[in-house]
Amino acid sequence: MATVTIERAQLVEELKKYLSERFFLTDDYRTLPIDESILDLGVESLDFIQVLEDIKEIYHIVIDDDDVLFENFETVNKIADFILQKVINL
Amino acid sequence: MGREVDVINFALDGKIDGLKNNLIGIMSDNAEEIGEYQKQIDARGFEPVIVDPGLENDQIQSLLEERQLSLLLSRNDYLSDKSIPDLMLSKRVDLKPEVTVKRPQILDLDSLPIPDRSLINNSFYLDRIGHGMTKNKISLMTSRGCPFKCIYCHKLWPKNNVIRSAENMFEEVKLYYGFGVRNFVILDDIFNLNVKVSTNFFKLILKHKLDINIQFPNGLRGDILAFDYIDLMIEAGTIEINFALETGSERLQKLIRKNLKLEKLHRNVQYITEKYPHVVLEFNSMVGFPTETEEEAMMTLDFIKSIKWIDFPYIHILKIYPNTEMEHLALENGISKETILKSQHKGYQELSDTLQLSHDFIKKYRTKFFIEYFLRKERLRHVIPRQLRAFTEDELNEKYTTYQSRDLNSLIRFAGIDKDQYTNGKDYKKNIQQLEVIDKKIKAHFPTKKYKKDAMKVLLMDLSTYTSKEAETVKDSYKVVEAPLGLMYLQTYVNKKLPGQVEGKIIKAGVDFDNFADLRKILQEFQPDMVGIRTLSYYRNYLHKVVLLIRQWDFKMPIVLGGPYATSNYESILKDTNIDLVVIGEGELTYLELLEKMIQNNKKLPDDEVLKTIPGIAYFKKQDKKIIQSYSRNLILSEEIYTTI
Ligand code: SF4
Repeated sequence: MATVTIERAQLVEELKKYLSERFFLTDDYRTLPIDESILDLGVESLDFIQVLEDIKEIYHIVIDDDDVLFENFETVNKIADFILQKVINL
Repeated sequence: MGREVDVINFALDGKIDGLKNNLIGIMSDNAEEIGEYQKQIDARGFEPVIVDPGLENDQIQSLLEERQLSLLLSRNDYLSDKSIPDLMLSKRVDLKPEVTVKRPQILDLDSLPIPDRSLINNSFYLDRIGHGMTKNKISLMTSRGCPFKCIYCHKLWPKNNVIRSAENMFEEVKLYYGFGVRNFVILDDIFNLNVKVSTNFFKLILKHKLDINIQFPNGLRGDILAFDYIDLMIEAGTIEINFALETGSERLQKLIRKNLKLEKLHRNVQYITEKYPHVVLEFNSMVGFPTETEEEAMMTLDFIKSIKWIDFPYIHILKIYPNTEMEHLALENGISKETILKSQHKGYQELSDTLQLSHDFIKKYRTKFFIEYFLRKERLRHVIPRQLRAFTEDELNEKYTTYQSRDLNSLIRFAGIDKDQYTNGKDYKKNIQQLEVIDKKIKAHFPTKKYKKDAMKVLLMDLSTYTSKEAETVKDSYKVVEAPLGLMYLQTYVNKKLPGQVEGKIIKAGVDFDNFADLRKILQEFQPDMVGIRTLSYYRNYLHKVVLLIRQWDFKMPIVLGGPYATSNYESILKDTNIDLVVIGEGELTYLELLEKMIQNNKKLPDDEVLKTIPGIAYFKKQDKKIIQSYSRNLILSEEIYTTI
């Protein structure tokens, strides 16, 4: 079940860890910038299918076609906002 | 270090007299390798000159000039982004090759015999998808020449578009239909240009009730289609169409002189998607034209997004080929020649420095396209079930792997499609015969080739695919393999005109040989009197490496180049002194005439006096070639020496 009370700071850390490890972005996930485009950090366009699937699964959220806008997934912070908004609307 | 002694010995073998000084160039940034070579070079009283492979082509050339190096050893992979002809020939030589009068275009394509497919390893090609999406298919070329003026195009072929008669095309289709083939791929760029002939072709298919699939993977001109033409082509069996949009901006359409009527194209595509949703649509577009703005790039994306749905939309990075009007436009807009040359080895998906739009923008642009259109579940749920009806899972998988490095199942999972409902290519017109049977029938149909004892032997090589190792070296994952139709045309024509006099063996990289050692074996066993090679500009470095190796293996027969790369770049190609002659443009008549003259000359290349009478070729006159050779450097692929010795 989704954790409606999810903490933003904790979520950002989780996302940093997930992205770093899943796509080998950095050795120390804590150093991953949260406002830089994840494309610039090393995530490829084609990796987005994985990002979308994993986020859906980890946070038990439904991602509609109309949610799949690059702007929603561009940075760690934006992904966090997107997830929080989805969780709140659950 | 015995092996390294061999390398230096080999490099010097027979070349000492030709060296201008006691310098040996070593292209390497590997300290261990340099150290090993250095010892061996020192031991022989020579001096090594280390050439950093990270330097620009121009810088390397200058270094080679400055030190007057006449021997350079390099590993294969260091040469992948270098211009080999420029490394081989000193800049100081400014000789131009002889170019004979233009060969007139073949106006009657029906006069060319239907290509003899028994000349190739058919079962391999039948079992793979090529440009079209189906396996077990026969690819056809039906027209030549193009009247359009797109500035990114090499415009290699005549402006006059000629097409085979509808009856002649139909005869070829009927032949293979009789063998059990049901999938036909028409490789032309603009099959629909001649509306009358192409209409008649579709009508013949319908009249004779041939139940076939037809694919147009290389493009139809989408703005000149009429609804009744679309109805007819689809009724005749068309299941796949590729449209070349290139750009959604009217200004850029004019600038690149594609001049597509975007509204008409849109209307036609919309018509197909609504009325014939089973037809698989491909769309080619490009980004990165000189002067293109971000807004204009977005127009292309918006055009694609406005169509529900395109099965395989492509966004390529513009590749600027030398000697095209696009190159002029790029130069005028501040893109340097060096940058253009450096980008030649890049794939259509790789970011290159010729782009004026920022790399960040392009990355975002492609990601937007990928996630907001390609990955849209509504789209996937619409197109994949239809594709599964028309194609086998196996074919689709291959297509998706080449297209987006994605396997079909990951997309099916992502979109939540119930695959079992659709699989097995329900509407798929399977060939009614097994591959082996089709292959046998093809072999039985075409006359067995009997050659005279002293027949001339020609090895025709298609280098428009990489061997596995080379693909790894240059990081190329493009897996599409088409049968070498052009080479079949050449050899079939010669077999008809000079029966028994020329034994032509056709091979293709990645198919008939998958490493250099195997290629060497083929050459040793076949012992050709001439090697003819055809490739595309994209594979230029690979071609020059193969030619280097053929000489490194000490084969001395003439090497002749033809096809798109040869036609557009013959001047620079001939700087590679290992190449003797280039055939420009359409090959059949020139190839025939060249062979006739060689046969008369004891299977050797004829003298300049004779060569100059053959239309459509370029070569260096003997005396110029001597000068060139004296300014030419020996380039040696070091790691291939082990397969050489
Ligand atoms: S790109 Fe195609 S349509 Fe344009 S000029 Fe070249 S061959 Fe003709």
